[in-house]
Amino acid sequence: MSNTINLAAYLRSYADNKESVTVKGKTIQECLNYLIKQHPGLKKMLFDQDGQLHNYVSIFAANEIVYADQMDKPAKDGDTIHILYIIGGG
Amino acid sequence: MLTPEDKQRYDRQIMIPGFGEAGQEKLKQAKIVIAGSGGLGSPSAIYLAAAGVGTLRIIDHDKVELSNLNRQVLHWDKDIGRSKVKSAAEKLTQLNGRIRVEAIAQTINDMNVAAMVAGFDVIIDALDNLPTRFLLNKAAIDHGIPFIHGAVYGLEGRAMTIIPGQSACLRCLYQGIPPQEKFPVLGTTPAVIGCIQATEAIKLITGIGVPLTNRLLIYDGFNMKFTELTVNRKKNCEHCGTKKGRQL
Ligand SMILES: [Zn+2]
Repeated sequence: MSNTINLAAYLRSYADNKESVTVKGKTIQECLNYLIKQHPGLKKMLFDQDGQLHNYVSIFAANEIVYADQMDKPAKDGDTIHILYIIGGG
Repeated sequence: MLTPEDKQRYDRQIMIPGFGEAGQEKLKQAKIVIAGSGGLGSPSAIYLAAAGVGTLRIIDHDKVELSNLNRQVLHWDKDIGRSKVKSAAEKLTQLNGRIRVEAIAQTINDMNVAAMVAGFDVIIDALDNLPTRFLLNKAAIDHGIPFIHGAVYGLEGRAMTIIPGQSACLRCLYQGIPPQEKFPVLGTTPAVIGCIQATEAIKLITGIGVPLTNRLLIYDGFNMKFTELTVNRKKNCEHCGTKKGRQL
């Protein structure tokens, strides 16, 4: 069982400039936990002090948004998970 | 009615299947708000003016600064210190003297946003900050005006078209705002995204093509890749969801 997490460009500097990271986990939350174990700098970018997903971070799995209250959604083997951090420059 | 000069000027786009003189006439009658005349607003406004959009309302309270010139191509060396909307209106009317350009040197806030957008056909989100983007997203939904989102950071850009009552909005995608910071940007990034926004506006007005709705288009200039993610409407979205009494 493994999944690929794709990081939006903004987040790559917190993950050794990697575009994607291979993770393992039964749920989206477990996949993100695996990611943070490998790249601890991402933790504060994605979660608040209580471990809640920031409301300006968007997670996509199987090409659908996974909202903060759906993090226990199963991660299907091979699915790509995308993590977006909001950007607002113009 | 298109004049003989119009038909000549816009000949190459009138030739596009489905566009025709009828499409050009629609552009001539169209009124578009461009919120921001910086990195995104410059290319967007240039191509909308060149395409013959009848009325462009450009809103920006800023003055031109030296550090803007790497990307804000409507503003030049000679414009430093000038009002951005005046600088923009001057260039756009020189490019196309047949269109109307309204220059509004004001900050968009919750008191004036309704008056800024009322009666317009499309709103282009060419802002440089998130709070005003959300304000405009909500105003667009409240007034039923299509809203074309664009944003950049470094060599990354994102775009999505929002049709109120039909497609996912900016608030369906993100529900909050992080601490504000100065953002890095290469000029070509807002050029790519601003041109996508102008294309979307022209498509919506003329009725050609398939809009970028319920899809977030992500441009990654570092790897020169485009990615598309599906964005469905959030049931309890604060701006467009059933929470506000709207039907999904
Ligand atoms: Zn929404």
